[in-house]
Formats: sequence, structure tokens, C-alpha cells
Amino acid sequence: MKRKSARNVPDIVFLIFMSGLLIWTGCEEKISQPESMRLNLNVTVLDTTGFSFDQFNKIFVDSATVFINSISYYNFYDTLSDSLGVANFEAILPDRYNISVTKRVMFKYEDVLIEKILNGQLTDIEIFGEDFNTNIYVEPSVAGQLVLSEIYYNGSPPQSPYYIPQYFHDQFTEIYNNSDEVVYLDSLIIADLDYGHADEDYIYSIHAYMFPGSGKDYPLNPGEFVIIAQDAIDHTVVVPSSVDLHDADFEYFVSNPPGDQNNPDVTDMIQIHHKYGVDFLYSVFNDAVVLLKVTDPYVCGYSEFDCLKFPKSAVLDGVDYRDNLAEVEYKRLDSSIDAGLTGGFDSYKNKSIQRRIDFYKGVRPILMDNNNSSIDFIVLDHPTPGYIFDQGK
Amino acid sequence: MEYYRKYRKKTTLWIIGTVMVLLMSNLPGSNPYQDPVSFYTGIQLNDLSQQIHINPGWLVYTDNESYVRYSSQANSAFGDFKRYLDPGRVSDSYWSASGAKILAGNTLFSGTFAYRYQNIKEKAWTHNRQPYKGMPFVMADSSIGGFDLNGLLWQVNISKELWKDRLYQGISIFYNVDEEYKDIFPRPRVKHRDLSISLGSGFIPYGDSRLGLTLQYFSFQELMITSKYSLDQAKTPLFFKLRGLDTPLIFRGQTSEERLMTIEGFSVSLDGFLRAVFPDQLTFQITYENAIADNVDGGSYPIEQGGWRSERYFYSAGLFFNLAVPVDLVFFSSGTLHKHNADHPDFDVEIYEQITRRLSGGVKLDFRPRNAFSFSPCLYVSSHTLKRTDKFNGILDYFPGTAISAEIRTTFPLIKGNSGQINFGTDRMIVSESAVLLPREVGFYYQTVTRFDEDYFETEFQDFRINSRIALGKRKRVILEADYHHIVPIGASNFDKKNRDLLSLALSFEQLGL
Repeated sequence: MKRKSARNVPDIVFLIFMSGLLIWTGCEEKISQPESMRLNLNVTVLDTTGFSFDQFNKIFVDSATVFINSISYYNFYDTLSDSLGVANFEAILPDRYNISVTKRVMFKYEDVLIEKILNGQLTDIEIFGEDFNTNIYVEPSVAGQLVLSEIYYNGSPPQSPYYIPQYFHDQFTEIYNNSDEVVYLDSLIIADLDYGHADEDYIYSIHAYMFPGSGKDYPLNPGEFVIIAQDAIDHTVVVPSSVDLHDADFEYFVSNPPGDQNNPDVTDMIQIHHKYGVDFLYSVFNDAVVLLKVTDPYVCGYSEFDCLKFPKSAVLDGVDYRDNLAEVEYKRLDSSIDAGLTGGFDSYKNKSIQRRIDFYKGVRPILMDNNNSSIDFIVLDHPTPGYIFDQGK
Repeated sequence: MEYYRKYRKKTTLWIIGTVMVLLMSNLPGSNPYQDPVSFYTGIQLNDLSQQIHINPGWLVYTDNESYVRYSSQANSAFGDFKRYLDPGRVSDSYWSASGAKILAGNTLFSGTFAYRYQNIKEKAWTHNRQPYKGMPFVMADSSIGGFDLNGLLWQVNISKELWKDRLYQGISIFYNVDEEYKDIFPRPRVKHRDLSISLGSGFIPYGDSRLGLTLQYFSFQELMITSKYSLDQAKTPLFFKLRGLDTPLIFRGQTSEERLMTIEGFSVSLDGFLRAVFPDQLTFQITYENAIADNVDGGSYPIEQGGWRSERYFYSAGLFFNLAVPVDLVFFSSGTLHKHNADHPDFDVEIYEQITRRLSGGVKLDFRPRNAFSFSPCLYVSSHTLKRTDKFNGILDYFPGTAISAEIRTTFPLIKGNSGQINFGTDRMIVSESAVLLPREVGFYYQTVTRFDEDYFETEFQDFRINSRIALGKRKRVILEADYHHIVPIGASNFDKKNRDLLSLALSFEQLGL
């Protein structure tokens, strides 16, 4: 086979090739600072119910505390709205956000000083692209006389030398009289709620238990607590890090199905509705607990999933808690009851959620009640049944 | 307001492992990790590499003798001159059985079956096996520990002559399954399922010149599961879902985390060997690869974690000139362009772009003064660029650089017809001007990981390598292969007295002509 002469070709090819290589390496790429996708968020707080207009002659709500939390990044920010009702958040990450707003207002009506709370919330708002403006609408609600001051739902860890499985029978609920008057617990109901019911008017309870009494049998003085235990026993015998609830005021006792432990010295709550379980167990992961008052607990009937319905307007106080605070989309209470979400810790850690002290009236603490558990509650490393841990300012 | 930080006279370093592959290919400086199997899975089994990168249509043409081979191969990497998320030490072992049989009708049936055991030490955070492949979506937790991997992989090739001395057709199927566990809390478990199918055609226009076309489909799946073990109830895992160069999602895990990452793609490749046209010989290969990936978290409630697109282009060419009877002069060049783009899971917006470029070219002299003896000095230059743009956080990394490489390859006869081969080489990364552009504030991930990696990419280094192969016997052979790299950073205070060593040993027993 005859081959072409290649004596001069290598030099040419080599030169061409190396020239190309030099051009390539000699070319410096143009680089410039990429724009970050962080953006500014402006939230305008509006009250279109007529309340703010009637009282203050404007619909923009100033000095309202606006909270935003990033669902993915788990960031929380808060600021106050200005005189035009605008709260500005600078250089936040693009994400899906939950926004809530709270303001306590005092006004006089016929020489009577009245306190109301303006609450509103937006959930799962996509905020990205250009600077973002949104409106949030608030509604007035009333601060409660009786408040859920502490809920210990977390449970206890396995602990040497017992090595029992995780322990949750030490759960309790604490109610506090935040008012200046005696309040009677008779016939009030504590319930926990099911998730996923889009209903403007009703809440759907999984369990509901009523205080006994016929009207004035169980008074609660201003500044007093009442403890409702799942099991009113000394739980430190089982788990030393737990709590002693043998002298609780009330106890959830489930007679059917059998198996629940009962302390005969402690008054039982009356079982109104019990969908499942051998006890009134609050979920150690996420749940909503409400305190409510109705004349007839069965008047609204049941849902198709065996939840007892109560009117939303009957709720005196409510708390929505969850282990992952970013999952606001799974909230069970709307902003008229609880515009926030509390918790945010692992199960079985002996942690508890307690309402903050807002101020002292004399020596009596007044607990914070913005109907927003993100603001109103703190997390305690250990439960405090029957007393308040003052976290200071 | 954002500020500008720029480094001058720094070196780029982004392609540490490439040199191992260079030695495996015929031309120095050829495209590293061109094959998607090795690029995306990290599987580096010699028996596979020799088959998987070839147009399966040519197997019966080039590999026309039956054989059976049993091999044991151990690859290891160790040393602290590494990126943050690279393992401190990797021991990757394969035990394989390979064979080929010429069947009637000039049909070749060949394949490899291998067991793989990999032990990784000091791997920081990531559950993904390949966290540096241009995909910003990486699953991680806060632990630094080891992984143990057990896997089975096989490859089957069928190659057939369709038209005598003119047209060849082949198919090659690769499949890998493996499972790895991290040995410390939260003990993530990672399962892999990898599949690649190649269809190749080869055409001989005249003489021994060849033109080939290969189509490849690949699908790689990585399932990362972390369950909270009952023995570890007192601990809480901290998970990072990386999304770029900063601001990962951070989760305090309650029960479990799960991610399914799937990469699917295809490639088209043209290859050729032309003789007696211009110059004496011309070899070339051009490849285009396109892949997409999907990341989904959670099992029964899937949550998208972002999409990813990848395009890779390759070319390589060699010009062979026969200067005299025992001397060939070879000019060679190769190029690579990788473009990776990632989209936000929730918003229709691109959040990350990574471009890597490499252009390499050089010259080699082949001396073959007598039978079974050759001596080939070689010199080549490579230009490298890595550009990472985190559009979400406003971070840009730009690392250009140049490597000058020298290599000597020798093949020599041993007594009684045995043969040996030994290659020496070195690569020197040379300074170019790099740039790191940052927003006003950066987060902990940038400070911990990205900044460390940027220092790494800006560090000059020298790679000394030696590669040898000794074959004893003719029809029944024992083959010993060794490949060693010693990589030394130069003038970098952050990596002072830190090196990286790569060692690969393979022992094979082979019987030809069954």
C-alpha cells in the first residue's frame, strides 16, 4: 500500500493544534457576580372587618408583630408593622413561607376597657423572584379567661435501670385562670383534634372529656392552676426523670376499653367521646388541644370518620403543637384559635410547652395570650405541673 | 450590596482521579471518566473498563480469541489532600470472572461477573456516592464515618459479524446492585441499582479502517434511607439536604429520612480508525451524552428535591505519522465539556450551573527498535476550567488552570516470551487566575465545606505516577498490574504536608484459546 509522505505535515498539524490550544488557554472567561435570589418581603397588615376602622379610623394595622417562617429552611423572622401597616423583611431566601400576625389592642367601650387580639395568618405562600408584596388580613378575637398554661405531651425517654419503652402515660394538661374573676370549670371540655377537616364552623375531636360538676362545683380562682393527668400517679417510680402526678386535680379515666390505670383519689373527667386507645393520649408528635364550652356536646353530631364535632365559636383556648415546626401546612387550628405553632422538639425528651408570662398584676402572673402559640409558648426542658417557670425577659 | 473577592495566581485542581484513567487509555491525556458508568457510579474495575468504553460492535473484531480470566483487583485512595466531602480513605476490591467465547458465525459472547467490597473511612456527611459530579442536590447528615459496601455487578456482550469483513453489530449490558451502610449513627443505608445498555455498529469501508456508531442508554438509581434505630433513641440525627454551595436545608430527624436519586440518560458516540488517507493513521471518537436526574424525598409521600440536567461532550483524536520503520510520531488531542444545570424543586427557576472544560493535546514518539520492545516518550498540555455558579445564593467559583504532563511508556520482553510494560509520568498543574465571588453574607455550609473546597481547587499540585504490567506465560498467563499515584500539593499552607496516594493492584489468571 502506497502511503503519502508525511515529512512536513506533522509540523503544520502540530502548529495548528498548539495554536488552538494557546487560544483556548489564553481566553479568559468573562465572569461577573451572580445575583443572589434573596429578596425583600413586604407584608401589609389589614383589618377589613371594620373593627380597626371603628376604633382607630383606619384599616392598616400598625405595631402588629408579623412572623414569617421559611418552610424549607426553617428560618424564623419577626418584625413590627409601621404606621402604614407594612412589615418589611430584607434579603430573605426564596421559599414557601407561613406568615402570621398578632396585635393586642385595648379600647374603651362605654367607659369599659376592653382588650382584643387581632390575628391573621397565611400559609404556604411561594415567595421568590422579584421583591414580594402581600397583604394579610386580621380578625379580632378575645383573650381567654381560662388558658391552657402548660401541656406536657412529650413523654419520657427510656432510662436506666428500667429500659422500658418510651413512656407517655405521664402526660398532663394545666389550665390557668388568667382573669381577675373566679371561673368555674364545670362542664368545660378538653378535646384533641383531627387533622384535615376544612371547615369554617366546626372542629373535629378525636377525644373529648368533660369536667364534672353542675355549674359551680369546681371554681378556679384568679392565678390558680388545675392539673388534668392522663394517669394520676407518681410517674417517677417508673421513669425517674418523669413527674409525680399523684395529687393531680383531675384524671382521664377510660372505662371502655378496659386497661386504663385509675387513681380513686383523683376526680375523673367524664368521657364524652373516645375514638381510639386505652387512654386519652395526646400524640407525642403533633396534635391540637382545645378547651371549650358548650351546653350540649352532642348537638353538632359526628363526622363520617367518627369525630365528635364542636362549633369553633365554643373554643375558649387552643394550642397547636408539632415536632417539626416547618410543617405548618399540617396545622389543625386556624388563626382565630391559634395563629402559630409550638413544639419543635423530639419525642420522649421530658420537654414541655408552657405559656409565657406576659406581665405581673401585683404578684399574680398574667400569661401571654395572643392566640398565637409561636409567640405565647416557650419550651421547657422539664414539665412544671402546678407552677409557672418564669423565663424572664 | 455584595462584594467581590478575587484570588490571583492560584491554581485550579479539579480532576485528581483522571490520571488513573489516562493510563488505561491508548492515548495519553484522553478523556477522563467519559463512560457514564465510571463517571456516575465510581465503579473502577479494569475488566469492565476495557469493555464498557468500546463500541460493542467491534468486540468480535478486536477480541477474536476465546479466553477465561479470574481477577482480583484492589483500588485504594488515601491521604488528606482532598475535597471536604471526599473520603479520607477508600479501599475498593473486586473479585471477577471474565470470559469470551467465539461462537459459530463469527459471534463473540463475552462478559464479566464480579463481587465488589468497598470500605470507606472518614467520609464526611454525604450519603451520595458521588457528591462532586455537578449535581447540587446531595443528601447528608452531620456525621463523619465509614461505609461498607457489598455489591454484585456483571456485564454481558454479544458481538457479531453481520457482513463479512464489512459490518459488525454488538450489544453490551451492564448491571450493578450494591448496598452500603454507614457504621456510625444515624447509620444511613444506601442501595444502588445501575443499568447500562449499549448498542454498537461497526463498518469497515476499506482495508482495516473502521467507522463505528454507539448508542448507549443508562439508568442509575441511588436510594438513601436513614431509619432511627431503637438503640439510638437518645440521639437525634441532623440531616443536611444540600442544594448548592451554601444554605442547605437542615432537619432534625425524628424518625427517618429517605431520598431516591435517579439519573437517566443516553449517549451517542462516533468512532473511527482510518489508514492511508491522511496522515498514516487517524483515530477519533466524538461523544455526546445527555442525562437528567430526579431527587425525591420520602417514600409514600414523595417530595421533589430538585431536577438536574447534564450534557457532556467529548472528542479525542490521534494522528499517527510513520517517520521511519521503527518510529511513529503521534499527535493527539482530546476535549471535554460538561454542563450541568439544576432547577429549584418548587419554583420554575435554575439555581445552579456547573461547567467543566478540558482541552488536551500533545505529541508522542513511538520507538519500536525490535520485537516486543517499545519506548514512547510523550509530552502534553491540558487546559482545565471549572466554573460553578450558585444562582440561588449568589456565589461564583471560577478555577482555570493548565497542566503540563510528561510520560514515558516502555514495553519490554522478559525471559521465555513473557512481557512487561512500565510507564512513568508526571503532571504539573500550573497557576491560572481564579475567582471566587461571594454575596455579603455566607452561611455555615459555605464556611465549612465550600470554602475548603475552593482552597483545594486553587491549590497547585504535582502528580507522580508509575504504572506497570507484567504478563507471565503465553496461553495460560498470570498478569500483574499496578498503578500508583503520589499527588503532592505545592505551596499551599492549607494542605501543608498533606498528600494523596492512589494505588491500584490487579492480579489475573488468564487462559487463552479455550
